[in-house]
Amino acid sequence: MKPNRLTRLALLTAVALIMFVVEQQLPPLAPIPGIKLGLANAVTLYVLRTGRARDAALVLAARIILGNLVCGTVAAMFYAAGGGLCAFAVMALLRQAVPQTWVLGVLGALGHSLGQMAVAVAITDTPALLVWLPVMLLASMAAGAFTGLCVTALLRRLRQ
Amino acid sequence: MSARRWAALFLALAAVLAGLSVWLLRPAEAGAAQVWLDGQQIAVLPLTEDTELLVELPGGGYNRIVVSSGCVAVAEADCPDGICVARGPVRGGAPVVCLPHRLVITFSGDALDSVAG
Repeated sequence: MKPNRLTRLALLTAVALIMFVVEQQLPPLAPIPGIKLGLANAVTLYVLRTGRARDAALVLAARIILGNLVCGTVAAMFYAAGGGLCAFAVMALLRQAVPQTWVLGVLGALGHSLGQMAVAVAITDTPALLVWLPVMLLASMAAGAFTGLCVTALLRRLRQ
Repeated sequence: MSARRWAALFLALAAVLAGLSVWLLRPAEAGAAQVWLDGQQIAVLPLTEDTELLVELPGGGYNRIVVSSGCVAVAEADCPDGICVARGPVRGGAPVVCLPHRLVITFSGDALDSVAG
C-alpha cells in the first residue's frame, strides 16, 4: 500500500473510531435494542463517494474490530459486523445507480438494521426479537438520512 | 429515480413500519417471564410473586432481574449500552433484550389465566 493511501485510510479510520466511541458514551436514545445514530457510517459513505469501495471496506473492518476491542463485547462485534457488512454491500452496489447521498444513507441504514437483526436472532436464537424490527428500520431510516445529509454537506464544503 | 420519488417511497415505507411497530409493541399483561441466555432457557419467573434473579454470564458480566408487583425489569447490568435497564419495568409484550449479553426475557400466558390457575 502506498504511503499516501495508507495515511488517508488510517486518518479516516481514526475519525470513524472517534465517532463510534463517542457515540457509545452517550446514554441510549431510546430503550430499544439496536437503535443508534450510526455516525461512523458517514465515514463509510464518504469513502464510497470519494474513493474505491475496497478502501471503504478496509476502513469499516478496521473500525468494527478496533472499536469493539476498545469498548464493547464480543457479541457487539458480531452485531456490528453483520450490520456493517450489509450496509456496505447495499451502498457499494447502489452507489452508481443512486446519485442522492441521503438516499444511499437511508438504504445503507436499512441494510444495517436487517443485517444486525439477522445476527442478533442467530446469536440469541430468539426469533421473538423480530417484533423490534419495524421500529429499528424506522429509526434507521431517520439516522441514515441524517448521516447521508452530513456527508452531502461535507462533500459540498470540500469542493469549495 | 428522482429524489422526490425516493422521498415518497420512504414516507410510505415509514408509515407502514410505524403502523407495524404500534401493533407489534402494543402493551400486554403476561403471566410469566422466561429468561433466555444464548438461546437456552435458564429460568421461568411467575409475575405473580416478587423475586430477584442474578444472571451471571460465563465470560463475565451480569444482569440483575427483578420481579415486583407484576412487572419484570432489569434493575442493574454492566452491559455497555444499558438498553435493558433503560427499558424499565414491563408487564408483558415485546421481549426485554440485552444484546451485548445475549440475554432475552420473553413473556407468556395471560395475567388473568395465571390468577385463575
